[in-house]
Amino acid sequence: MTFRLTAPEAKTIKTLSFVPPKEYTMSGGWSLFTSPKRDLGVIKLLFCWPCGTAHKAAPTLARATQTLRLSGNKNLSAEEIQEGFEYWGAAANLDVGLLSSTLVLQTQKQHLEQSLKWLMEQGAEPVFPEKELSVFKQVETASLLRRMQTPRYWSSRLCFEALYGKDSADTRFENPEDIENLRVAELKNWFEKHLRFPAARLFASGDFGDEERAVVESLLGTAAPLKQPASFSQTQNPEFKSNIRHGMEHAQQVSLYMGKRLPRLTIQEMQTASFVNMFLGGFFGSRLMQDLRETQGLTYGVGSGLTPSAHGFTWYINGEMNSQNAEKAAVATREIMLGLTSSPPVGEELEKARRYVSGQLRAGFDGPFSLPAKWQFLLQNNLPESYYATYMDRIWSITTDEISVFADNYLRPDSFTLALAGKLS
Amino acid sequence: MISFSRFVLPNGLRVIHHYDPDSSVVVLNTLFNVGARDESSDKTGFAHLFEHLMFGGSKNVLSYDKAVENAGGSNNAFTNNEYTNYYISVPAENAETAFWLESDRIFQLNINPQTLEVQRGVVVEEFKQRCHNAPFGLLWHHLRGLLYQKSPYRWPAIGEDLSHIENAMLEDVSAFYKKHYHPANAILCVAGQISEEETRTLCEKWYADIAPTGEVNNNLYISDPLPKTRRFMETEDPSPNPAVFMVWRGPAFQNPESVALEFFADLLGGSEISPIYTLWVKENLVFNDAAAFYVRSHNEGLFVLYGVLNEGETHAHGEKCLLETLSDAIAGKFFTERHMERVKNKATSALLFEKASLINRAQKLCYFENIGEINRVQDEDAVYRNVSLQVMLKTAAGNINPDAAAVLYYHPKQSS
Repeated sequence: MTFRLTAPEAKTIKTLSFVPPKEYTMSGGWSLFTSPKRDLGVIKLLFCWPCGTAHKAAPTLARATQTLRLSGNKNLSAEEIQEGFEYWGAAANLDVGLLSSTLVLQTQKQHLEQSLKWLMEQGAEPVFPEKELSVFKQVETASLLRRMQTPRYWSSRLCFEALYGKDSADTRFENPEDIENLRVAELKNWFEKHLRFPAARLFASGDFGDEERAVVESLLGTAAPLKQPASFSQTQNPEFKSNIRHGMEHAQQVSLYMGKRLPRLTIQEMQTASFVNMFLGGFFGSRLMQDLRETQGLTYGVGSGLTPSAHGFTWYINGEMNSQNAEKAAVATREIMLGLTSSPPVGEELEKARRYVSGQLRAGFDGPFSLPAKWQFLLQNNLPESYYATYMDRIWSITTDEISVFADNYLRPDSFTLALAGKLS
Repeated sequence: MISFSRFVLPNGLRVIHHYDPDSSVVVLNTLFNVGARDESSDKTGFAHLFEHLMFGGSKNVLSYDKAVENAGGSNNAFTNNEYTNYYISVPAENAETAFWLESDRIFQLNINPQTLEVQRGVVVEEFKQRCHNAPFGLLWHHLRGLLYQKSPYRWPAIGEDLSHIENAMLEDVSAFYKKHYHPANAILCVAGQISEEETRTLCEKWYADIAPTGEVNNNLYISDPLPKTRRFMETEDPSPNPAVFMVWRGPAFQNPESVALEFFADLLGGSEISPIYTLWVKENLVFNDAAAFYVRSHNEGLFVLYGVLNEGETHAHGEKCLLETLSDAIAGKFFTERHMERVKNKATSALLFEKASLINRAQKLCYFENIGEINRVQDEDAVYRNVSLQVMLKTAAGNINPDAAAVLYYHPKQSS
């Protein structure tokens, strides 16, 4: 059994292998992006409006409007509209992000026509009934109050508010009074300005071919220009805070959240940031995960990431741990951040990350429904189609010195705000 | 239709092959027929703790995760009351790395004091994060405790008590490994862009020499009689909302009645147009959240009905509202043939979307093999179509006795 002693050769992945979406301009002027057809019996249609919570200082209005857009019209109640989807086994899933609002119609191929027709007919002119808004307020307030009992909620909220100010476009935290103050007229106005059907991008994936495209074309009507709100609300520049502490009586752990504002980056800088983040806390083999979890056993999970903001990105680190270990974990995290400059990844560590990230980048295109979100990301951020291919190249071309310099520029721990919330010792 | 082939190695390992030419990856999904139900009552949470230890490296693999990452792959695992499931996904050209890794940790896992100490700490933090920090985080501890007195189903997979994990000894976990982690107690599904021929060759190379060291888990457990009267407990929780949860035991996954109960739960409280939601959240403002669902599992399922109360509402009133609607539904007040068509269409869509994922298909094949009925993986939709309105209501009436619920009241924890 000596063959077990040697690992089989693991080949490096240096290329992507996917068929990009096809873009069709349909007779009504709509742009439709379609993924390669797969014989599954089901389809996803993604409608995407370039307008999300960042376009309003208080994010609640954008979220409420999108959530309630199928909650009733002149003729039918919320229940009747929903029943129409469920009867065909379809679902219209609504969501709002910082920079976009989405509706995903999931349907069986055989029921595409009925469910899309239902969506276009019943979702075109919502009236946002008072009763539905009232239920929304009740449900959302209770849900918010429950989230407010968790350490994670407060560590991230206090960190973001320290970075961007309480009323910034980037501070996506609601208060119960924001929900209570919602008014039907505001929802109607927001819908009218930003969320009408014709002003959306459309992506199709799954069992979607020429016949299905003809069905969609016959039902969509005439497109309208995409309406991005004129500007984001003002981002504030509050005085820098390095440390925030928030005690919570009932908590059993402490949540650690560190964050830093990054400006808008060039494509190459974005790709570098994304790759450098992998070494910090972007995957299981990262320095944070290996040290804090696998070596010291301080936490179940710790990680880092880059999340888009209205004017750039936020670099964050987050984990939950025992209260006695929180300060120890914060010290270790800072050392790891400094270490990316003083002893940047070389040799095996660099090679392993390259191999992992390139493998995952390719795997990210696997599956019938993977392309729409990836293309939406490109369009939303005005990135070229070659973005993913050049990222693959960047993974393999970046040098240790470049990682060190980048970490020195952006990952100095004293430039991050640290928030600890929970059972503080 | 999920195409597959199946073969058994001489050491007892059951292998399923599923080819997907559209995928760029190969998935190895391994199901071990061991879960929380196989633990002793003073050592709960071991199956889950062991899931963590399986990533600690093996005799010939110093670091499991490094080797996976080096191959451009990813992996994860989960444990429930009935089985433990591991999966690894690698680029198709690195399939053999997955065979090397997965076979070696079955063959000779490196269980040592250091790995155990670190993973004990990790699992303790996981327990606190999931059960102590999250609203209603101890829900399943309480509900299972109400439903069962002797059965090992009375604790959830994370473990009954944190101290069991904190006190786990090396000899305990070594004995657990020896008893449950061997080829005859495992099912391997190899799925993705890999031929059956290559699968057979690689299985022969990497798995055939593993000795058949243990017994196949016979899955015999102490069974508690079904409760005939109401069981009740109340407790405090950091959640600011009081709540009422009710649960009943129901038929096993293989029994078509479990599908009928799943449909009944979906119609009763599975969406915002269900009677539970429309009557008590939207119209009468008793709850700010309410739902019903049925958890289908191998030995028996659980029918759950709950409501999170609005300020000023009492638990007793909340319970009465839920039970009244449940009784009306069982009596046939709400549902028609159109409802049946709707719930079947929803279930079919969910099934088709689930099968779109390669990992889901691999897990499904292992699950059906584990319950001894792999060909039924093709029949799920037919089982759905066979449930009639009459059968659904009769099944609900036969299994859910409103007077014999296990009832849990949550009160917001008072500040000291």
